[in-house]
Formats: sequence, C-alpha cells, structure tokens
Amino acid sequence: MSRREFEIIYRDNWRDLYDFAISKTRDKDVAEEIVQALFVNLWEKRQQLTIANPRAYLFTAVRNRIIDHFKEKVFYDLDSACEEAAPDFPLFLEELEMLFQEAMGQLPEKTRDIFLLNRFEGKSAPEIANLLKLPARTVEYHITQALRKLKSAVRNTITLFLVICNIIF
Amino acid sequence: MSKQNFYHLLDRYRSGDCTDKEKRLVEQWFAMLDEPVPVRSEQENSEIEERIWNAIMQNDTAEPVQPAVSFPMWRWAAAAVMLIGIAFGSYKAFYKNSNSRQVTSARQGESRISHSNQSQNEENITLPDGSTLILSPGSKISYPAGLAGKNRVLHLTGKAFFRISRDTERPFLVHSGEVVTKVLGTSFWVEGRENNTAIEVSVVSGKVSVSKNELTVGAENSKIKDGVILTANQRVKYSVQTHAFETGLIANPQPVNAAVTANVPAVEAFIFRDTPFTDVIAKLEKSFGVEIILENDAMKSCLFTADMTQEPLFTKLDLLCASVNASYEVRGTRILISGKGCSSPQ
Repeated sequence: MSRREFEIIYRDNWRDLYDFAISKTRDKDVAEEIVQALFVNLWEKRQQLTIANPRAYLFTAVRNRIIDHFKEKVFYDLDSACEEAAPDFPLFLEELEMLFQEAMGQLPEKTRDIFLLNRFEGKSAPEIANLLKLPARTVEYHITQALRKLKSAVRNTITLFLVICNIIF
Repeated sequence: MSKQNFYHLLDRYRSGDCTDKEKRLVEQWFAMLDEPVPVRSEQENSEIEERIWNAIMQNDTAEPVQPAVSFPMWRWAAAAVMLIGIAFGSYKAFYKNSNSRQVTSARQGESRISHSNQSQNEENITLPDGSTLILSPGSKISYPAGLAGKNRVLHLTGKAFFRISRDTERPFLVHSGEVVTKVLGTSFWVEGRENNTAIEVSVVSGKVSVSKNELTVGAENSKIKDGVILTANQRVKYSVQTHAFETGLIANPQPVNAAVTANVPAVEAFIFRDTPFTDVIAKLEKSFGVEIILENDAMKSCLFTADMTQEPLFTKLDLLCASVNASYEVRGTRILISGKGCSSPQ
C-alpha cells in the first residue's frame, strides 16, 4: 500500500469511523484516539497487509477497539485485580440474556421483527423494506423506536457496567 | 459481582475464546450502545480530519517501537496500580487536571497545594505520603506542599474517600468544617457539605477518631476531645446546629477482613445447620466487627439453619430474626435483637 493509497483510505473513511466511535462511546476524545490508533496501526502494518475490502476491515477493527475501550473502562473500575470470572458468571450470563429478552418482549411485534432482521441478521433498512414490502422510511422508524425503547428498558442495568462506580459501599 | 463478570465476558469475546451465546450477548449489548452523534460544522470536520492525519503521520517518523497512542497504556497502568494499592498511576490523573490545581502561599509563607474536582466524575488523587483519595465531583482539598509538618493535615470541603498509608509517627488529620478526623492507617469516607450543616465520616477499615476542631486554639495545638472513635462499618454524623455527634452503622456493612485485605473481597461462608443462636451471633459479630445484643436470654436456645453467604448483613439479620419470630434494630453502632426466644431443645 503506497502512502497515496493509504491517504485515500483515510480521507474516505475517517469520518464514518469517528462517528461510529462517538455513537458508541459518547466521548469525542476517545473516538479520536481510537481512529488515530487504528490508522497508525494500519500504516505500520501496510507492508504485511493485503486488504480486499478496506472499509469492512476498518469497521471490524474500530468495533474491536471500542469494545477494548469498554473493557479497559470496566477493568479500571473493578474493585479487585482478579481477572478470573466470579463463581456466578453462568448466572450473570443468564441474567443478561433474560434482561435482553424481557426488553425485546416489550417491543411491538413488527418493531421487534424489523429490529432483529437489522441487528442480528445484518440486513440494511432498504433490504428489510424490500423483504417486508414496506417503505424504507417506516423500517428506519421501527429501528429507531426499537433502539430507544430497548435502551430505556435496559438502561439501569447496562449503565451499571459502564458508569464509573460512584458508591463504594 | 457484575462488573467483574462483564469484564470477563468482554475479555472472552475479544480473545475469541467464547461460546456462541456469549458472542450473541456481547453483540446485543454493543448494538444497544448507539447514541446520536452531535452535529459538527464542515470546518470542525476538516480540523479533526487534519488533526488525526497529522498525528498518524507524525507517529511514523517517531520511534517505531513506541506504542501508537499512550492513553490505553496509562489507563491500564493506573488501573493495576490503584487495585494493588500503590500510588503512582493516579498521580497522572492528578496532573491531568492540573488546571484546577493551584499552589498558593499561606500566611506563614509555606506553600499550599489546593485542588478541586471540577469534573463530573470522581477523581483519584495520590498524596505525597502515598495515601490516596477519591475526590467526589465539586469537592476540594488543600494541604501544605509535600504534606510536610509534624502531622499530615489536609482540609476537605465536600466528599472524599481516603486510603491512608500507615505512619504511626505522623497521624493523618482531615479537617472538614468544625470536625477533625484523625487516623493512623485506614480507609474511610468524609462528607462535609458545602454549607457544612452536617459532616459525616464512615469507616471502611481501621480505626479513626472524630472530634471537634478547637477553632480557638492554633491547629498545631488542637486537642482531640469531645469526639468519638469509630471502627470498621461505623459512621458518625456531626450536626453543626447541635454540635453533637451521632454514631451509627453504615448502610451496608462489609465483612471486616475483606475490607482490610481489600484486594480480593473474600467471600466468607455463612452456612448454618441447627447452629445455636449464640454461635450465629458470634460469627456475625466477628466477621462484621459489630456488637449484637440479645434482649432475651431465652433466644440463646434457638437453633438456626440457613445458607446466607451472599446476603448483606441486614438481610442476614432479617432472615435470622424471621426464623425465630424476633426483630432487630440498630441502636447507635450496636444491634439489638428482641424476641421471645425458644424453649430449650429436648
């Protein structure tokens, strides 16, 4: 990859990656650091890498970096340095699953179906519109609604994982 | 604990060593994180674009072995350091917000460090003696440079959690409003509201003495009197109106040993099978460092069966009392259990 090619990839993609990182982390400084680190890494590895689809590669990479960011944030927030799972890890998974299912259960059926197609089967809004014979705008509306409702349903529990612990006891 | 579990889940996901179910849960969680992105002007966009680009290219000419960005590194370092209780990582957090940190000259000409937390988050601060504190948003501290002097003296407005490094030669004193908290080596909270109507001190581990600040006497000569001594799981509230101390227990007392060793909260088993009431009480007293009084001697003949390892202290007491038709109340720092008791076993 030449410097020119690298620059084109950067100019074409930085903005979507940056917005994606902001939408997930809600922190523009973190988003900027993530995007920067991502491209530094790409630049350093440009000799070894042959990337067929740079955009897909970049989005996977930025996603991993965002998850790592949350991982660090949670780790920073832990009360103990223990990296092992607590004995109640399986129970925790069950609780999380139940939480998601309950939240999903509260959605109107059509909203839920569209949301599942979009999020878990990776279909885009136009694809879903085509599949269900609905206007694309309606599909987008359902996706937005689903996200909004799910978020308020799980907010308390999810933010527990994310927010810096304010209470020591 | 859910944070630990959540960390473990993310760790498994990122290492690729996870089940399909775990993968799905992480992806569901991640899908829900979306927040709308604030609108930016084109000018802001090109500024950010150039800033990131320059940072990437600048990095190329720098030492190739250096890590690309420093932020994940120091966050990790700070985390590890904070958890093992040695102070270094949080030092950076201190300097990071140095805009709110000032060195001023006090009357005597000695320089004082003052620091206020103007952010929305709690802030970790390491003091020159190695003690650490977590300063709540909107709170302020000040102390002589280097924490020098016969005693380690710090002034606090607002709320902070302290972990004091032990130095028996130089007691640590926290002044907040009219109250002085004196410690040797321990961890505790001090909360003094801005208007100082009430000041509250809660002890997590160790022992502290809380007393009135004799304002008429110089700080150097201030005598400790008219105060209380607190041990783990106890708190005291000082009312400025009545100048009175009121002691009590903290909202969720923790096992004393776990708080002291701090690193890994040890889970102590509380499993009882036809255990005499007196033994149950003795175990609770020892493990939580609280005093429990039985109103009626006949309760000593009660037997108790339960596994209540996970429950907080007050839930344990609820279960215990429910089983023998008794009730408990917190009186000051002690717990009084009243009930008819049981007839002696055959």
